[in-house]
Amino acid sequence: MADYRNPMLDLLSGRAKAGADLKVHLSERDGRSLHAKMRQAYWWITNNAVICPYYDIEFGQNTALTNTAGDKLCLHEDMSYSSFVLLPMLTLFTCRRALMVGGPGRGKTSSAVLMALISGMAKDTVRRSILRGHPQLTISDLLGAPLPGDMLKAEEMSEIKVSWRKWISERVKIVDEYNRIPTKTQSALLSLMGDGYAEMYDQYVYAGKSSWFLTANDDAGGGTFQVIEALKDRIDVVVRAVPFNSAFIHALLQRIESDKNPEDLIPSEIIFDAAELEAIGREILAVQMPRTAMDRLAFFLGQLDYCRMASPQFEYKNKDTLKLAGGSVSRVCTEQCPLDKRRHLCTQTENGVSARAFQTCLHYAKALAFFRGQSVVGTDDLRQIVPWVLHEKLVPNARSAFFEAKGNETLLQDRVAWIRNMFDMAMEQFPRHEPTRAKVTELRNELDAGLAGVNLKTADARMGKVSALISTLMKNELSGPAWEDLIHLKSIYSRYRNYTEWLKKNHA
Amino acid sequence: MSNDTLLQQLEDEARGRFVAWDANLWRELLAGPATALARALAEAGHTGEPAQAVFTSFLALLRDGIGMGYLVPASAGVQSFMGLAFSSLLPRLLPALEPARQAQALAECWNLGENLASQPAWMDRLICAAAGKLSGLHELEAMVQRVTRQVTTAPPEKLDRAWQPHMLNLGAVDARFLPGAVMFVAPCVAVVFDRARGNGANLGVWLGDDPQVIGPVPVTDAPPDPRNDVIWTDAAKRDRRLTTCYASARNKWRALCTLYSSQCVFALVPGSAS
Repeated sequence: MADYRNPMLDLLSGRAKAGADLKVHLSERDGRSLHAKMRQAYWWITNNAVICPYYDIEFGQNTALTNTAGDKLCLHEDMSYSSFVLLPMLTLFTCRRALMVGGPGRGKTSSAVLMALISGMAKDTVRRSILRGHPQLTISDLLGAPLPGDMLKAEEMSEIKVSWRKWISERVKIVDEYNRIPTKTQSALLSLMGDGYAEMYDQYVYAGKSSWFLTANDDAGGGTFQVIEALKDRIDVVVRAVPFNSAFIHALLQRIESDKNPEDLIPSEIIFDAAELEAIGREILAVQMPRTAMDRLAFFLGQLDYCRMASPQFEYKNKDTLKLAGGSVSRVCTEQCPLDKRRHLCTQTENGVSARAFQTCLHYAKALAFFRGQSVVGTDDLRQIVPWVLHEKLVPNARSAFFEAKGNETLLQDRVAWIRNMFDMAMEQFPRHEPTRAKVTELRNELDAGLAGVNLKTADARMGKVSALISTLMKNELSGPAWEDLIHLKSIYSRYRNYTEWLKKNHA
Repeated sequence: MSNDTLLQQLEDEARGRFVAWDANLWRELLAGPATALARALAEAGHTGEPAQAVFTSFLALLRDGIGMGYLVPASAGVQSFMGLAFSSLLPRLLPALEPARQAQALAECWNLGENLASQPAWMDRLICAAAGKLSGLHELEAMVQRVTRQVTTAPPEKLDRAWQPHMLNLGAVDARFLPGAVMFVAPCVAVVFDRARGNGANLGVWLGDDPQVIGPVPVTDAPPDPRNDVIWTDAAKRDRRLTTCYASARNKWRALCTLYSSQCVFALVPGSAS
């Protein structure tokens, strides 16, 4: 009988109470979960505000339906979500930066405005604080201007008071058409986005903890002005606007007839205050990232930077070396490199990813897992989030033999599909490489335990183990993951070598 | 405030407060149970401010019930005490109470419905089944105590060789139901899984003093493997209605089996066959 729980207790008591005025009053619910509120906000937006013709962040096994021409449609078993709504929401709660791309009238700015509204900003404030990019936008338009009176009277720079623009300190910052901002003004924006502050007349303004939503009509980042590389690198995630599906035309009619926008109808139940946003941010960070998921992400991202042809020196066989020399992967990734272009991921990209991109992937994966109600990040969370994070960061090597293979050429036109395909290829390869990586990790853990008290004999023995593994790996094909492991092993070897030399000098 | 203004105000508040506001259901319940209650209150001579206060509370709870998803359209096929209370019990039985007691009864019905929403579904079904037989809301507390006592305490008699058979027709509740695996979730409550449709279509069976089918009971457990028990061999000799068992379950107090060729389930409860 131990399994039978007692459902009884006091079923007639609760939060409804009859008052002396013969009215029944309902008290507030206790312990309302922020997670539930976050999901509620997501569903309200997808059901009422943003017309989402498809849900493209999908989980679980799928049933693939294929037609005779080879077109494939997948039906997934678990819940799926719309990237156009979910990614901006995750950006809001992680205080990161999203670029929303897509043609005019696709709802990019509206979606950003919705995020600002559910963060508790008033509608008028949101409208006033949108920074609209245009070719004449100056630094003063962006940041603010010194007070004219002070300019005449001041004898020192510090006496000039700057009237900073109010949008800078808002929790949600919206920069519309950022690719139309002149290059010089982009630099000021970069400082604000990247470093969190801007300077004028020796005075500083701080952006504070905030979420950024930038919009651009052109996926490639083109526009009136070329977007500076560093600014693009500060963008954490790319959100693609969804096309309108004519099946939802009745929803448009309803909006015309009711003469109201979804922004006017946001229920108070899904508006977050500052403390709630903070609390969700903390809960997202508390989601666990297991070693297995992290190893898989590292395996995928780590091999992208490798280029066997970049340099004769082992350590410099990476794409940065090529770039610094003004070269490109497309020029060196030829038949002279013996690696199979159909299997090795290094051939597909012109560049690798920065440590910042690694961090962004980890942060968004945690946020996605939290949103799904998971306490631990899974590989499926990474699979879904990585393409959106790397969308603007990875440049494909369009001349790679990989893209010449049947069916692969279309991957060049869709970065999400391309990056996800690379991720899947990496996950397929991972189990084959896992035993080697486990051995390297074991050696690393031994070193990380500390060298205090390790004598010369032990250090030599460990160095011997490292050398032996290096010798074994050098007999195999030098693939991206193998190169990463070898570089790692060499750094372990160098640490032991330096330590033994020190021991010999000081304890001889 | 006129009733029209009140209704408009309640609906405007609901649109601002609830993500899942169902305006059609609100109108449907206003035209049905709310109108019936207003009429019944007037016929019972409850007029003036006290009656207006009670009626306003009923409407406010009705609105909150829709907004929070406790009340759903009848077409959804979901039974709950909250639905029963606001669509039938309160409009029918509330006017019989004194005004001072009416507000209390309203609060109790809400609390009971909300508390049952976080209890196993079969508990809600049992309360619904018992509540349908109430002759007045003054019996509500006693009914809840009786039902909860029955489900949480072990029955006095254990099942041995003296038992009474009961045939329960699940097809009468769900015409497409094909009884499969059986599982006890309380001493006198069992869940019968649908052999053809799997875990989505389960029916609950109450095996207390008055065995009955209590309606759909969603459970998260997987259906257990069909088992047979020696008691059924004995039972088949004593009751010719019991044909080949498909699956069965038994605890110390009750036994239940489904049959290969019938939509009925066969239950054994302690006692001498009459």
